[in-house]
Amino acid sequence: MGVGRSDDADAGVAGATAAKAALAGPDPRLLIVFCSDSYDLPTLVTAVTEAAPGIPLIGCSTAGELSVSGDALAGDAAVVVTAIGGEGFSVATKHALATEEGGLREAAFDAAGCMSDVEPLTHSVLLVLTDGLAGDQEEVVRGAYRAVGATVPLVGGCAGDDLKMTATFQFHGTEVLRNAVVAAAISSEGPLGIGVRHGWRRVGDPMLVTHSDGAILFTLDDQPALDAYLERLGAPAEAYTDPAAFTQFALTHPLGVSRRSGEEVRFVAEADFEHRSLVCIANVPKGGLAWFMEGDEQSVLEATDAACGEALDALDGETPLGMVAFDCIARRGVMGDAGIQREVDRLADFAAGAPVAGFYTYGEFARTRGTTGFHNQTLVVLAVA
Amino acid sequence: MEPRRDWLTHQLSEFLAGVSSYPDEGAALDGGVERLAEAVEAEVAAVLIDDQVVACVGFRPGQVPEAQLIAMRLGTSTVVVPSLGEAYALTVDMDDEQRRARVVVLRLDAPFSHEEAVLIRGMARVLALTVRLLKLLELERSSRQQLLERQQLLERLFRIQRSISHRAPIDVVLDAITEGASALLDAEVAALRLVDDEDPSVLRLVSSVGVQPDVLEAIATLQVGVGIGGKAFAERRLVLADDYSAGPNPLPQFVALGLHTAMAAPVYRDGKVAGSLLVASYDPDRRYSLTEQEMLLAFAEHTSLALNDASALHAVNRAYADAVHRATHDELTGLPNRALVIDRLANAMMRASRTDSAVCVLFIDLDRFKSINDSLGHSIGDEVLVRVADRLRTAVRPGDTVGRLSGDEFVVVCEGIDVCAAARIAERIAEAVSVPISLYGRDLVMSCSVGLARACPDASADDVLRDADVAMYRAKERGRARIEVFDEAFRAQMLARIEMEHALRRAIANGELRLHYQPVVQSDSGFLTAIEALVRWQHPEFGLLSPDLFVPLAEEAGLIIPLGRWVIEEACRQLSVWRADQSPLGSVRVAVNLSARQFADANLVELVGEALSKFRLPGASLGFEITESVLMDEAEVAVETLRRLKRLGVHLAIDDFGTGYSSLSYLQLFPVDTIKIDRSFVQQLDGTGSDVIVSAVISLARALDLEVVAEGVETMAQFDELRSLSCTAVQGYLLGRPKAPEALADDYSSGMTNPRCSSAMRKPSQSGVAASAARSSIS
Repeated sequence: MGVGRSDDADAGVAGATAAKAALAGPDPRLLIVFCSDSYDLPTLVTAVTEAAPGIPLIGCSTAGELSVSGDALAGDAAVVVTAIGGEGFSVATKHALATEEGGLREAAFDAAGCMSDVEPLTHSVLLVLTDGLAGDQEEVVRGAYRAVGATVPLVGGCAGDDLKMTATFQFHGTEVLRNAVVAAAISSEGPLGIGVRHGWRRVGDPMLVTHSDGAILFTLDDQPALDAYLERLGAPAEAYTDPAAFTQFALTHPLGVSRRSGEEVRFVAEADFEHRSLVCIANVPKGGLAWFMEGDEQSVLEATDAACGEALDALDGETPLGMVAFDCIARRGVMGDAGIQREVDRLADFAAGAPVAGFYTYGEFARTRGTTGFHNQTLVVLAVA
Repeated sequence: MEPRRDWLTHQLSEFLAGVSSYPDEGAALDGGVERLAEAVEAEVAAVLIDDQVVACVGFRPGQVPEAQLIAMRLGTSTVVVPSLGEAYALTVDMDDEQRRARVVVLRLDAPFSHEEAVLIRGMARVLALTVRLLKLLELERSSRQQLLERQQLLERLFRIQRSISHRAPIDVVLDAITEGASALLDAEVAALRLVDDEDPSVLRLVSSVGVQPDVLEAIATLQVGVGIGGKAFAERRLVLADDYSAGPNPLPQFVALGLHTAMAAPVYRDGKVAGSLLVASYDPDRRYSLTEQEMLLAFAEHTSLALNDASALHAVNRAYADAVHRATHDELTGLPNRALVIDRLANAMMRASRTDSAVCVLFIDLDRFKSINDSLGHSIGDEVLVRVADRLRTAVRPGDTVGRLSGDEFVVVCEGIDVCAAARIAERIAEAVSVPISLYGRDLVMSCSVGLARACPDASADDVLRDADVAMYRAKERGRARIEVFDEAFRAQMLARIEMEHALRRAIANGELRLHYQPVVQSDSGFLTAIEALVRWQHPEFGLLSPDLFVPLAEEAGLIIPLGRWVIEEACRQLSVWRADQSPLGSVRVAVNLSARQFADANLVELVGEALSKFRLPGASLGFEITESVLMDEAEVAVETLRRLKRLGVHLAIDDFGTGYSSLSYLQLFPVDTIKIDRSFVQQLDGTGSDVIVSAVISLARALDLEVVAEGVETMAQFDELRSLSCTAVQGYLLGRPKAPEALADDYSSGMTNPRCSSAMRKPSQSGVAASAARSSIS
């Protein structure tokens, strides 16, 4: 596996530079491109494909890029290209667009169909990159699951746009897409390890979700959700009225939805000050239990360690070729720029010399058990051996 | 990985909420299996109907191992599935009766716990229900009723879930379940039974709706296998009964109530059957449809979920039994309370009518208990009641019921004996009660009044109790500490008395009461000094009735206060009329008699004040006459009441003086204006008796600076004697009979002197005492 990076202002140059650096190794089977949406994306993507013609390419725009021996700062336009290859790999890619009718579920089901095109090697994984603003991302998991079944784990992330929240982009081949699910089916003789950790702590007692509609949370324990949230967490005064201040606060204070073995974290995107409700980025199911959560740099970094550890453990002792990280933008919000560097350093430590690439996402995918796999404010690490 | 305790119940809530949003059957099944798998983090979930896989998640399309899924046996197992490997499996029925639909769940990392199995069963049932309802919806798209029902059910179940999540006490949760089942299934009765933790052959009632308190105790336990509930438990399946009384083993109490149709479903805990949930209806045409059977099963599943806390189960049994006991027994003595006594009596009477035997009831009232309570305090009073209760228990036969009705009233129900034998028991009781009670160094000697009544064949329990009460009352009237047996004459008397009471009540309301007025005249001048108002009853049948015919009845019936109020207001009204008519009668005060109960009434002073201001009368225009014995009965309190009345400015007189036990010191304290000598002493002035008492009273009155009025003056001789003794005023037939206000007004139309009074009366007195003592009648 090889990782290349460039922060050249010119899209074509940046793309070509990063691609060349990534292609240091032999026999690439898959290219993954993470870059800022400030670039002229079609130019950039074309430049990459020209550097490695015939190699399947997937990628997306981000809210920041990660690579080892580099640092990534939001707004710092950069591109990271990852190349995975070698003998023991088989890759197939596909994309589909979320339509009015079928939505993300159908698109995911469709895109995940590429799984049947790979060689049936010992281990396999489905990697998906989706349009984070296109709808209920849980549907992506459901659609993909229906296509590949319980034996194929899922990893991936939602494309970002540097926190502008207007339009994200997904790449497949030379195409730059929106509302898309781009999937890469990877099978490998060597093990593939997945680690998932969020690093948020619960605050206070659990509450019952008494009224919610999709991603909007109206009441908790029959109390207006917004009020409960601000009071319980001791939010600063500005957060009570200023939307920007609220989002800033909410970035590091997500919701945790109770699940059998822990909780799934849900990002609190904004507050509806009029209706006293919370708007989350994913479904908060009515009738379930939920906690408010908080975190700090310490807990986030501990999660980094644990996720890496989990992913590497699954390699059964084999040496990692590299890691791909899907890290939630909210975790970045907790750490700040200095913290980011620390996180990257830790990733490097775990990789022990192997390359690492990744991006800051609007949501993460990881399914290794059961049927659910959409996460917020979580770190997902894919280790390749 | 072990699921956390609270997670389970919320998963079902989420499931319920999610499942209610699907628009059609296909979507519900597809979505349902997804949510099922998500809830328990299983990789595979499938619904099989009629040996076909109708929905499945977890396998690639075309790779579903249908045959293997269909062949799965109910319950847990481990299987090896192609493309999945070794997995833990759980298969449950979706619908009980027809066994056509099943849910299969497969998970890789851990076997399914009991709790998870319960959850999955619950979800499977809800899914079945939703699908069935959706089918109905599809068939009858316009039927909004079904949609509403589905919503209602799910809302109910959601609420139940919430109470479980909120860790509501288990009895609250179970009540929510029986209430929900009763409401949604339109069942008049719902009953939840759980197996007793000490005796597994017994099912205890732990929550119910629509069961009367008196029946509760009788049906508190049920043998396993008996009744619909017992059968559902024993056979672990839903049991239907279209005709409850036809069996199997119907509960006699329910048959007696008239329950007609019923169904019951088993309830589980930790994978084992733990009880049953029953609903029943009085409607003979009620049939429980498949949908409704599913609903009951859904409620039963929820009960299972709620019961997973082991200690809660025990607490429930105990708590419910305790609550039933408290509802049916008196707290202080532990004896059955009124409700339970009535119930036992009714049952005894039913048995007696079948076996042609008799039931007798003893009504026992402790004599003068109130004064013990008042003088020695309530804690001693309570102790006395407890001791008496114990003695009653030992004095009766083993099968007899002893109950406490209230206060100091007890009841004994004796079955299968005649009046004579019951009377002997009454004697034993009286003896037992009369043994001195030794408390804190005192010896209290109690006695009781006992009323004995035999139950008539077509009477009700309340009737018999009332007869015994009447008999007891008669025992009190006849002097207390005795036993009276109720007989027909009582009944007749009682009826007559009740009649009179009603008539008197009506009389007060319908204006059949009248006030007649009798003049009080100054003995030296013959001037009118006051008027006494006397109440009469213009009975529609019997004519004008004098007070001694109805005032005692009024006192007993508790009507004396309204009657008294009417008298005061009427007297005031009449006065104001006289004043308006400028009759001389308007310048004189009107005196009204007050009975003991009126005098003791806390509202008396207020009432008087209101009457005065209503008719704009000065206080001095009204006078009150209270007998000596009433005043001396509770003299201290009397002083206070008199003072309060005096503040209104009214005139006060002690009536029937000489017949009571006067304390001279109190006499000095009473703020009264007049003493009225009882007529019995006046009669003696006829020359046949002595005038000693009268002259002593007059001297006493003058010493205390009080007026004296002699009552019952009928002859000139009496009058002369009184005048010579310097009695201030006189009243009696000689001076004027009580008359209707118009008639009296006529008598005094021309002045303050009654022209019909004998001129002899206007002679100067012979004693030489100055005439017309300046005391004016209106101060």
